[in-house]
Amino acid sequence: MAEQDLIGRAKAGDTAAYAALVRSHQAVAFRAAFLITRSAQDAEEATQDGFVKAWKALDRFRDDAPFRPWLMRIVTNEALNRVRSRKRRRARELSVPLDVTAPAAESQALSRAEAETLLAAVDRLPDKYRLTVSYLYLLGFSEAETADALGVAVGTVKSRAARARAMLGDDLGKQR
Amino acid sequence: MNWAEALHSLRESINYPPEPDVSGEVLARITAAPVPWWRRPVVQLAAVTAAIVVLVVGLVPAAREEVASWLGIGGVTIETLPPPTAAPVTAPTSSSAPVSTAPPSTTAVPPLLPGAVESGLGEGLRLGQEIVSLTVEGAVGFRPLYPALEVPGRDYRLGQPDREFVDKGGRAWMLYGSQRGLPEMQLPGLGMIVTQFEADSSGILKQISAGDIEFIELGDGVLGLWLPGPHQLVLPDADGSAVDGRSAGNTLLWEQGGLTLRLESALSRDQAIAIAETFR
Repeated sequence: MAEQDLIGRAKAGDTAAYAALVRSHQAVAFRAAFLITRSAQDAEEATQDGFVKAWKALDRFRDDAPFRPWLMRIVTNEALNRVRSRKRRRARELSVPLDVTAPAAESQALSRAEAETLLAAVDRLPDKYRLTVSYLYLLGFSEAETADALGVAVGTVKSRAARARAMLGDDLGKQR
Repeated sequence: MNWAEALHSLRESINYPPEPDVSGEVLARITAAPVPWWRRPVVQLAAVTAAIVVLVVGLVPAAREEVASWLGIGGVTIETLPPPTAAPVTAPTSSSAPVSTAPPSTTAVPPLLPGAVESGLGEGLRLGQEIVSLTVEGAVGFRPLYPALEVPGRDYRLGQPDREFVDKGGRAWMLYGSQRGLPEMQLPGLGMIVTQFEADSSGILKQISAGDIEFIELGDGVLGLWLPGPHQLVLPDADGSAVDGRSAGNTLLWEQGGLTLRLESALSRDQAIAIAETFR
């Protein structure tokens, strides 16, 4: 069934249709929440709570709008909320570094060490830049999707991305 | 390889934990939850009408006591009324604050006032522009406070609100839907409304109470005020003119971190205090 049909049914109260929507979007929602919270448990809770809140808010979803960025905005807020409540519990929490796999031999990608260095630099960016970079590059969202998910204008995404790249360059000593 | 390419290539190299399947849990939770009020067809028209009953009262002239400034609940003016008589306090009153009301039709849905929420949670309330949490600070110029996700011993989950608004008076509004343990207020679907604004501003809102004001103490020796509902809430516009008001439910007021906070719900005083103490 097409996504628009599932959304229509879910809006009319069909929970099974909504469960199908959950299954098709939960992987990316979880990954985004994990990039923000760096905790599998927090990410799972944020994903679950995000879907429950999205269900409650479904009447406000415009039928002609793309569903994923709308959902991602809710999940993003849930994830940020957990980071906030965690900071309350522990005065200052160090970000858990992302686990990096070795790239496939034939790929032109970065070496494992390069990837780790670059990700660590991304982690040092101020939150709004780190979030922009995470959605745009690590999750592969378009600029429009990133803007919707973060609740900012597309122009803001562009300028934050450019500024983030400049900060990364400064941080890594212009080695590239 | 440029920066964009390097960053894109990271996408392939991150090892995420295995993605959980949350669909079963989500399904269980949305099935257990009561059907949201706007999906109960019979309720719709009645709810819309009820939510928009705007109970503006004129500024009650005589015999008022300005307790609030004395108490240091910044930004909130409290007026006390003589003890209530048989007549409710909702009658349109003095000519100093004329109120335009919809024609006395019992069937027509009144038109939404400018700035009113068009649909869903908070429908009919004049809360201004809807925004997402990420942008609240930019819109109001202060960092808003939020309750903890969980309050010890309670089923409900708070934390991030279901909807957030910023109005022209510089007030931030956070709406939480009703859920288990957080009963529905007089306003359909709503379990809790939090209002925040900078404490050093004045006349940001006004509560008119029949006198049942109680001084309470929050955890860290913070003084607060408890105003049981129903009482009148008046929201002056940016120019200070009282233009909007409604009958408000149980309300807790306190100051924290340079902000004045207002928590309205159907909860008891002690439960409201327990939530207030988790705001950070």
